[in-house]
Amino acid sequence: MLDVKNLSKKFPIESGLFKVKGYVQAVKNVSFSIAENEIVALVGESGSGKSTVGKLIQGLIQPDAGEILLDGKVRAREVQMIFQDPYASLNPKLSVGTMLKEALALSKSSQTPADLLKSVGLPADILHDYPHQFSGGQRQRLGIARALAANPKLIIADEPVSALDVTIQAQILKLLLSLKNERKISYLFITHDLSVVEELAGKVLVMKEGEIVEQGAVREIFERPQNAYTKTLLAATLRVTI
Amino acid sequence: MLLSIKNISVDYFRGKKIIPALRNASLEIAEGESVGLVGESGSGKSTLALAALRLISPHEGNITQGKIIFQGKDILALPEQDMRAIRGKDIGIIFQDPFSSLNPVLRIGDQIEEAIQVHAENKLSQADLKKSALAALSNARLPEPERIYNSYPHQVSGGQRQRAMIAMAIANSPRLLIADEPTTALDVTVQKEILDLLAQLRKDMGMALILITHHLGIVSQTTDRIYVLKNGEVVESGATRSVLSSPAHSYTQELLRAVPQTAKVHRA
Repeated sequence: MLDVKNLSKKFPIESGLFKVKGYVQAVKNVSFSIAENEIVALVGESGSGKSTVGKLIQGLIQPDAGEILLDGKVRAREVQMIFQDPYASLNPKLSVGTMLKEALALSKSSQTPADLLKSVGLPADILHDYPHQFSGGQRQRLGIARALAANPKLIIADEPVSALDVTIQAQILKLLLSLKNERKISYLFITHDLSVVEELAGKVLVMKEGEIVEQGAVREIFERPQNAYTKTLLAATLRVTI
Repeated sequence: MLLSIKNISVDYFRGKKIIPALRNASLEIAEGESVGLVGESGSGKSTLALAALRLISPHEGNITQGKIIFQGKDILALPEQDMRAIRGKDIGIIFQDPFSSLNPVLRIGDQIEEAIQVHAENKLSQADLKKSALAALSNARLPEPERIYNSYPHQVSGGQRQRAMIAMAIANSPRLLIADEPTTALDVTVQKEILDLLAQLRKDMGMALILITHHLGIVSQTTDRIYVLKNGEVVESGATRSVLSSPAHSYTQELLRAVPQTAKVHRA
């Protein structure tokens, strides 16, 4: 459904006004694909380039080289993004109803705001409320509801639960999984938390310094990691002994 | 008992409103022991640690009842001057964000020296101060202690900054180190290194550790006992292994259910 081929992106390092000191290669020759109704996890540490990949696919920034090919059946609007900090991505001046109506108008969807709220497990009587009136978990549900307005085929989820309390994290992950099954959505799930990857994704891409150092089936890679960095990441995961 | 907190209640002020932050919370920690405080945001876990250091500002809130005994001293009855002598000497504290405890305009070495001088009985020579500061940086396993000593906080990496803060906290060989979400802002590989360092320091210095975290994997790997907090109350406490393998309280059970199956391992 999505094919990414040899994607590269560098950012200028500026020193002073308008002076470019050099470039940092944020994404180097990255290739992978996501099938219909598949969850692919993109893992790596801060600065690895994983969020840049998400933004490139969403079209928020343009690549220097490479291709992002969507299956003929998928339109650009059907790729949506959800973020770590839902509050920063919700307009504080728009009520829930207005925000969802605008999103629905853009995508000419036949859904109603109430349908969207129901899909994400929020009550219908919050249409006149504003983002600041909600908890972190509820805001993330609102961010997901807005993404659903476009009837997305692919959702790029950039650390969608890392700012939330653990019990809320579990609820949001459960919601994302049920939406995948009900609406046949694929996800590119960007995270640094390997324990979530094992539970959620079928395929994993491990990124370091802009490059994918290893990719494949989650079970295969977690049981027999080949790359030294993947091994280090796995060894650093702290598990609960019960 | 090194520290014993009995039936502490804390209220925070929000304008004219009073928000209860802790209710009848008790905690004990012995010399050299490692104890985890677990809970979600707003559970009161940080407040409990701040109360032990009497760090709740009178503008923000107050301790309405309870008793805190540290090394036989009644903490709530101590004059502020004596309390200052305990903070940073017998009890060290580190936070999630090293920037909150490191001064951005002072070199790391100067800040560690200041922490040492404040608690020294006599005025130390510059040479002695530097020697102690470099020793603290090496104890925090910082490579090139001399370079870090001469750096400003923004000139070193996040992991190194956290180690520098640990160096400052252990410079006076505290009996107790309170670590409030010390690795939450760090990458997982750096997190592991910092937790390993804390374990090593406990062993080397015989120091007790209170680790505040929302991460059950961290407490499982690094603490002897845990206290689970919810809405300002300690809902469950006990040996880490038994609480995590057979949680009695429904909230502890809920926390454990939230951990992905694959992130749980059965005891060998």
